[in-house]
Amino acid sequence: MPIIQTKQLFKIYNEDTIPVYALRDLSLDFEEGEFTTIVGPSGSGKTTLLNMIGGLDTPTRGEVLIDGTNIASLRKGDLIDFRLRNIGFVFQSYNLIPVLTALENVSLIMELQNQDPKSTRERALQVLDEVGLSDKLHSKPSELSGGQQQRVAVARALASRPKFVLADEPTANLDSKSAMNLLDIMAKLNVEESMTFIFSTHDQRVIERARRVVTLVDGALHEDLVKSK
Amino acid sequence: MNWILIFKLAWRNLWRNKRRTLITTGSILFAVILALLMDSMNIGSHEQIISNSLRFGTGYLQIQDTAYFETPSLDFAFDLDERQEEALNQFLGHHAYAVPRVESFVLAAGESETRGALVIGILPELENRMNGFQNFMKEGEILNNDDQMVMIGSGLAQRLSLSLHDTLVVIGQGYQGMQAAGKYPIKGIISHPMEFLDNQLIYLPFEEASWLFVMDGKASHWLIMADTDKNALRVQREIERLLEGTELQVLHWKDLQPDLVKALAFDAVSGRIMQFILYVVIAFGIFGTVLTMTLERQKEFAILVSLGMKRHILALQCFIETILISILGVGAGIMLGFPVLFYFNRNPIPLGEGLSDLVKEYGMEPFLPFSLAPTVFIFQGIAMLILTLIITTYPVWRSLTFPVLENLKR
Repeated sequence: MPIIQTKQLFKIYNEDTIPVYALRDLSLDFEEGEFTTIVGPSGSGKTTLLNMIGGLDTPTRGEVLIDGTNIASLRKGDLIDFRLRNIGFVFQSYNLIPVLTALENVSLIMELQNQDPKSTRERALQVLDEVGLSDKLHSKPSELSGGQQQRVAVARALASRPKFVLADEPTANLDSKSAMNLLDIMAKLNVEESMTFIFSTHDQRVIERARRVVTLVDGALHEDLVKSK
Repeated sequence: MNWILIFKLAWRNLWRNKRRTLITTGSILFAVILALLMDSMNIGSHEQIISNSLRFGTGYLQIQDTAYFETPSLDFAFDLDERQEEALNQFLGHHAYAVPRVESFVLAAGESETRGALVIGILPELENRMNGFQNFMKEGEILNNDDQMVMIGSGLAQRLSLSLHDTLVVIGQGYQGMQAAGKYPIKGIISHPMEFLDNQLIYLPFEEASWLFVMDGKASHWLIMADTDKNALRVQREIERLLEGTELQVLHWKDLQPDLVKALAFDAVSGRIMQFILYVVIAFGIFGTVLTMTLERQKEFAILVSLGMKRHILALQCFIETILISILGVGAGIMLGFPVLFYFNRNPIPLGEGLSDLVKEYGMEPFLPFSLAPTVFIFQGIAMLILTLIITTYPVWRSLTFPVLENLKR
């Protein structure tokens, strides 16, 4: 059974006046452990789709099912809790909490989940080590480079072992070396931790690394390409 | 709920802009000190008025005939029987004592002047314990119990053109229509702190006053002095039980001086209005900071909620931030304000000459007294807490309602 399903998903703005289709009849399945990119020109609906899957936005019509649960049926508080326990987010502009250190940022979600402090710390240290930031544990975001901040963001998304990670243009603000480094880390974690990754991106380097490429045009599915291993 | 995380985030957010937090804390601090000074001065002057009024006037409690309050005539004078006096002494214990009084208005005359005056028959030792009148002696000596002499206020001496050792003549009405007339050498002149009393006061030993008014040892009323109002109320309840079924009653000073109570309440309200204005100024200072702290972090709020922080936890974090900034300001204000109040409590500010005469007319001493009563500090704490709770509704409301997606895109 797919871990994520979108069924005839529509997102329409100004439906009563001049309708603008951000998503148009989009039905997709994502299996556990996939490393998928959503590509398409600006305004094609990539971010909107990720927001729908992440429960940050609501569809005008259609359904998003996560492990069989229609997330639109959840109450607001339950939806937040659902996100906390099931979804990891990596944002384009890192979005770390500026008053917390790298270690604290990575621990944040596990602390919100009220996990045991000792295992939280051990897991955060482990993930930060995996992304190569063992020497920056106590640095605040302002003391880190863009690439380092994005690695902290990835570590934060992965630390609580969510069912899947949604990454919205994670390499957009990074230089080539940092971008490649980050992709290596995510590919490694995808294999080692069987983590499902869904990216939206324009970045050709990301597209080349993905095993499945979903192309959107004007909010509709244009192509769904699964590369052979 | 992870309280450590919430407090950590709240505390660090407070210090992410140190200068702003310090300015806000500083403004609360100075406002609290100012409010403390105002409140302390207000309560201090009230305490002084009440103290003077109790020490030189009514006492905390009065035992009197049930008709005496409406018609303060010597005809309602009374004796306490042995059983009552014994029980009374038992109730009073170490925290209170009773002082019998004879009080009546007379005509007082010197060689060429006659004025209305108030004769107060006293037991000098108890009177001195009650109001320390010895400290106000201007000339001469204090009375003894068996003296057939008087002490008079310096204002009355001046009005009647009398000096020490001159003779004062009094004439009035005694118990049940008996004539009361006598002439007494002046043993002492007292400069009474309450000017209206200073202008009419004649102290006679209790026994001599009793003889003058033909009272046969009766008192017009008994004053009860206590160390605190709380003890006075306790004694009042016990005396009420003792006097049940008699023609006597015991009244609290608030019953005896309703006008004073009203005047103090009115004055307290005007003081509170001034404080309210001050607090409104503080409130806008805090609100400005809280508003900025809230609006500049909308994206951060959106990130936290998208990562899985529930809105009510975010609201709690904002609430704690506001409470913390208030606690810092109020705590520092009280800590710095206490030594200032302590200094002024020990060294009341003397009033200038013109103002000094004015307050004397109202029976007050010419100083600005400052109170160290716990209520002064407790009130500031409660007022700031209420203020903070009102202010905190904004960030709480905002964190509960802001649109996540819109702010995430910022």
